Amino acid sequence: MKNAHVENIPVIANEEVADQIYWMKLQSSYLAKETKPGQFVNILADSGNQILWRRPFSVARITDDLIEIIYKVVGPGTRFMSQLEPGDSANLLGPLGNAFTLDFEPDTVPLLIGGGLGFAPLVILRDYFVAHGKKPALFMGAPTATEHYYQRDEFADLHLSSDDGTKGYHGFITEYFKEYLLANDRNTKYRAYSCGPEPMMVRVAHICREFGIPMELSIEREMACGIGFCQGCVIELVPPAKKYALVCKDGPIFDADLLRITE
Amino acid sequence: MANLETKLGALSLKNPVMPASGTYGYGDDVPEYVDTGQFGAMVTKSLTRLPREGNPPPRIVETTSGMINSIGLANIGVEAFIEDKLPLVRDKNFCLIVNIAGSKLEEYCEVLEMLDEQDGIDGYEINVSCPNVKEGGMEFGVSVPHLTKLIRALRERTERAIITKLSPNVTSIETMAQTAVDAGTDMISLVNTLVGSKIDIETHQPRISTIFGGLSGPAIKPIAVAQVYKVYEVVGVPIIGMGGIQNAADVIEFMQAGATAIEIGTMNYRDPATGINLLPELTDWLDKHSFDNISDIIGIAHE
Repeated sequence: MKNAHVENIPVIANEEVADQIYWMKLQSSYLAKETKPGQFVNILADSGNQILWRRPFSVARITDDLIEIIYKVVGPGTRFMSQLEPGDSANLLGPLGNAFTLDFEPDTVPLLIGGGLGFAPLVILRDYFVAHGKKPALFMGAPTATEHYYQRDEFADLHLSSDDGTKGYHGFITEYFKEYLLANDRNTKYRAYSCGPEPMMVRVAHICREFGIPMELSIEREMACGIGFCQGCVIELVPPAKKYALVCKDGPIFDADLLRITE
Repeated sequence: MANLETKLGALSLKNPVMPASGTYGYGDDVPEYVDTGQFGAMVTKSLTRLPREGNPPPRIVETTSGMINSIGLANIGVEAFIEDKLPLVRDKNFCLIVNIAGSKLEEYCEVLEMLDEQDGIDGYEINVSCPNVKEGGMEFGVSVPHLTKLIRALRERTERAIITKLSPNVTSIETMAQTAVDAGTDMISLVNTLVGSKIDIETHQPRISTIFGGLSGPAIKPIAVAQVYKVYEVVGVPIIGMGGIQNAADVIEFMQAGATAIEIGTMNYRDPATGINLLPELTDWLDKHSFDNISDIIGIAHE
């Protein structure tokens, strides 16, 4: 948080990549250099002051001096964002929050399980692993084919699912993930990372616990500030830790064993 | 270039801008791009005798031009503040005002006494107006006898500046302000948040765990300006105005209504540098309107 700063940066691209889902590229050598996989940025989503809070988005990819975010239009804030065009500027505060754990034993296989927009922070994580000579297994689920925005990957082992069967495995990504684990050698060492709807992550956490796989997840909460000032975005922890953690500052990445929701 | 210096009783502030309690932590853990030394003063989060975990989530919700919060005075407690935070902020280039809350008169007194033994604190802002905690001291903010007793007790215990932070959720803000002054407060700050609620119409559930919370942000500014104006008419002590301040024009408006200094709250969430970024604009406005000192505009809306 100490290195977070506010800047107006140019929008380089802002394309609808699936139904109501946009992939935005912004130019900032500072954010591109400072942001670690799992961290997020807070974007002003209003030119006036009706919408006071910035909107938080995980950084999905960094290429050279561009940072990329993926978002879905769900309300006036994201609608405002979707109307930004290349050449416009956006006001960002970041980088914010903690990061995924990246170093572990060399023979460990990373498992990245995402649902819908929750796949975004897993893309930058996938990039990191691929750049470091690993072949991660990716699992991405969405309700239907038109909401899939990440469909090909030459360097990773990609598994897609849709709830209605229009793309990939027919059913929840969590079940596809469990079948994958059951079909693979139980001696393989894994480490799992998940982001998506909370019931999905809770299910992934339970599956990982069953298979003895350590897991981290990325939590989303409404935030007023993103830097620990407002104390609003709390999530409950399990004892003996303190009762609440701040998602913006202590997270958004948490070890699944620390949270009340994944108990 | 106009002089931004303003005097809060015995305290001299290099400018009238300070973060509001609860919107800047304890003033120590701030992004590095913000030079907090440029604030006229820093106001800490409310401190209680013991640490408090705060209310269950959801604690915050956005509203049109504002937000509702029900944090529940989550804080590290006065001892941890003295041990861990005070050394980090006491020597900064701002006046340090520590905000105190409690559920009983004795608790306020104890917290103040512990702080009063420490160097580097310039004054205390007394929170008698937290709407979010059953035992949050609100009774002191809405009852004349309770407020009198509390401020008298604190007055007996310190030579440092006492600022009584009033609740706008009262029938007569003038009565409460006069009560605090009669009991010995050095200044008044107002307004704290207004009681508000928001309901999710799809789930039929309140969006705040405690149903009601405190509304803040630009949405409440006209109410705050009115209350500052009213209090200025009846008391002679300095007033610290707050409620939805976003920019230099808002600062000027509060000061013309009668504020000697101002606090910025909700806008720190949008950008913690809001209060610092508006300082050049403040000077420009004064220069353009031929005011040599910012203190010259205090209360001029009453002339």
